[in-house]
Amino acid sequence: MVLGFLVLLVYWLAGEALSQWIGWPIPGNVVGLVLLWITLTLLKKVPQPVAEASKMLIRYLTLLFVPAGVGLIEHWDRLMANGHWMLLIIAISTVLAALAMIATFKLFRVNAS
Amino acid sequence: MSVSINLLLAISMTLGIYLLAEQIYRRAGRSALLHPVIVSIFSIMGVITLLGWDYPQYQRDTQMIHFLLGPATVALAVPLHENMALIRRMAVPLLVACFTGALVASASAVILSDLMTADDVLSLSMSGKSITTPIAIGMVDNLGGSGSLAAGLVLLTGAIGTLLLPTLMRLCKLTDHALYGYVLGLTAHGFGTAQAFEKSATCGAFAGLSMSLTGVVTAFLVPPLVPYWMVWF
Repeated sequence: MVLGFLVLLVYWLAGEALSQWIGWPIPGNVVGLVLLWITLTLLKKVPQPVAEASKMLIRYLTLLFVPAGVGLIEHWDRLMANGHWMLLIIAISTVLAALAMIATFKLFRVNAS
Repeated sequence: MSVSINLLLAISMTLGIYLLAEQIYRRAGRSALLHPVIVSIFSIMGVITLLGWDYPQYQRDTQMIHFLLGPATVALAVPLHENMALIRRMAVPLLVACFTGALVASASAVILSDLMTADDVLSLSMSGKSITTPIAIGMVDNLGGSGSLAAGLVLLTGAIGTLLLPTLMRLCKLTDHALYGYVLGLTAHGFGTAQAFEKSATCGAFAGLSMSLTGVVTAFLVPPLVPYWMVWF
């Protein structure tokens, strides 16, 4: 468990270092995710400690972004002023993205199952 | 070792409210509107306001919880690795659909927001609206938007997506469970994935896959492109 956690931290560290070195504005933890993903693909299996640590963190993933979510309180004026636009924009954008994907499926005649 | 009472209070309150919210969610039959995150966030906002705390102080006190988002995001590599096996056969078209969907979801939201609201912080935060919250917070903070606002927009997108998409897919006659799940996960991230698992295990697995893929694709492609989408105001 602690070993698995250490592995995740080291990959995060590597991702952070790599993204600062390249100067591409990607969050270091996402670069770490990709590095770990590449490693797992090469290993063709998930080592036990990593599997345990990641299962634990993902189980409580939603708890982890509560503190950030509470920060919405600082955007109250913005929500009051533009809330209706936000709903409309999100609805339109969601429909457009879904239609773009469905068009791609039709174009390639995908039939996955 | 002495730790400030406020810090202990803030962390205990956050964990306590979250666990209560989870119980409510279970008892209420897992309705998306009563999602534990939504209930926790609004309850904590209420408590903070009543106690007269300010958010920056609460944010500092709960830094320890927020910090774990780092390793938790890296940990998403594990389910992603396990789910990739699903698309071996259809890899190319499904990856093309993911890139297209991710770009449309992000670009259309940023451009519309820039046109309609001319609010730069809001428009930047819109760029992460369709991706899973841990990735959205980091990406948007890096871009100069607001991670907290992004978290709120992501939750809103999840709720709206689960309401709109079933009707849209019926109109488009998309019945294949795998493809249905793939669209739900891309556009409505975790909320969509939960809805997909109610349809079938295949549907849910494809939703989980497209959710993580979209997070990664968006975090790599969108940041350098965003400035070009915000040229109107």
